[in-house]
Formats: sequence, C-alpha cells, structure tokens
Amino acid sequence: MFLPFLGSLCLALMVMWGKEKLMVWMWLIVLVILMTSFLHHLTKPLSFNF
Amino acid sequence: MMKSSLYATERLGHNLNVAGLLGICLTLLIAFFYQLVLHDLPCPLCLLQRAGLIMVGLAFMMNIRFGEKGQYYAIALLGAIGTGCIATRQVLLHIVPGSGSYGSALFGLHFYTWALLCSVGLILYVAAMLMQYRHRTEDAGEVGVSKIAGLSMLLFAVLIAANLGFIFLQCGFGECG
Repeated sequence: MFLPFLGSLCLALMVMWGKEKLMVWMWLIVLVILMTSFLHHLTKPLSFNF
Repeated sequence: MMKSSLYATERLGHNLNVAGLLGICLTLLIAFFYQLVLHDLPCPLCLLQRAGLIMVGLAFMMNIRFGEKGQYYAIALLGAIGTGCIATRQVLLHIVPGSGSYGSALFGLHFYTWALLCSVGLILYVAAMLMQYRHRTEDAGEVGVSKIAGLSMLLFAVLIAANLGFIFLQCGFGECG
C-alpha cells in the first residue's frame, strides 16, 4: 500500500521538476504496482470486514 | 487550422486539465475531512481507490506541465479504468442485502460508490477533452503554466505526501488490513 503512494509522490515531484523523459513508462510501473496490490487483495479469502 | 485558433484550443485543454486536477484535489480533501475530522479510517480498498485517482491526477499534471499529448490522455483513461475496477469490486462486496457497508455516506452514497461514479465521470471527461485535443505543431507557440495551475500542482503534491504519511502511520510499509 505504501509503494503506490511513494511512487506517485516521486512522479509528482519529477513532473513539477520538469523531467519529462520516460515519465509515461514510470507512470505505468506505478500503475502495475497499484494493480498488483489490488490483485493481492482479490486473492484474500472473502470476508465483509475490509 | 489558424494559429490563433490552435492556441485557443490548447488554452482550453490546459484549463480543462487544471479543472480536472482541482476536482481530484477536492475529492482527496473530502476523503481527508472524513478521515481526520470524523475519524473515519480508510479501508485498504479505499486507499487503493485514492491511489487510482492520484494516478489520473498525475496524467492531468503531465498535460499541464509538458503540454497536452495523446499519451497522457491514454494514461488518464487507464488510471480511471483501474480506479473503476477497484471501486466495482468494493461495490459488489456490499451489493448483497445483509452484507452491510463500510464507512460513512455522503449524500446517501458510500465513498466506494462515489469512487465508481467518479471514475466513470473521469472517463467521460477525458473523452470530452480528447474531442477538443489537436496534435501540437512546432509553430503553435508556447502555452505557459498559469498561476492557478502551479498552485493546483503544488496542492496535489502536498495531498499525495499527506496520504503517504497517514498510510505509513496506519499500515507501515506493508499491506493494510
């Protein structure tokens, strides 16, 4: 859960800094980390206490 | 297309991206209000939905800072679809009668329902922005970053940092829940 937010903060600071190179690829890496966290959540046993 | 017309189109795109970024900042601020003032701690799926909205905000931010590009609109759509998937999962978990709900409600709808509506709204919004988008040519002239755009980017970065801090306090470095 920590990593997607850390990655987002790094991306936001890099955008503000004006670093455009490979930005889309880094964004995609952070999205993959986020969706991996989601898939990990999907594999948990179903319960109604989230 | 006339140069002045192209400039007006780019300015409109810039303003729409600033409006989108401010909308996402407002969403994160409302979530913070419920978290800090009403002591409504976010669940793991709620945090993932916030991260998804932040991903869309980053795409708007790139359009503002570096100028509009089709790639940035594409990643905005990807972020909105990802957020929609996460929100749909949580809506489906609570859709069965008797399965209860999580957290407070705003105007009668829970936050995961709002997240789903927001992601659908964002997809439509980005589609509308793509309709006015024209590929930038070299002689189109510079479209500078306005003061409100700079402030909205700063606010967005501060909100991401604040989220990171609270997530560390709530979950540490690992998975929540």
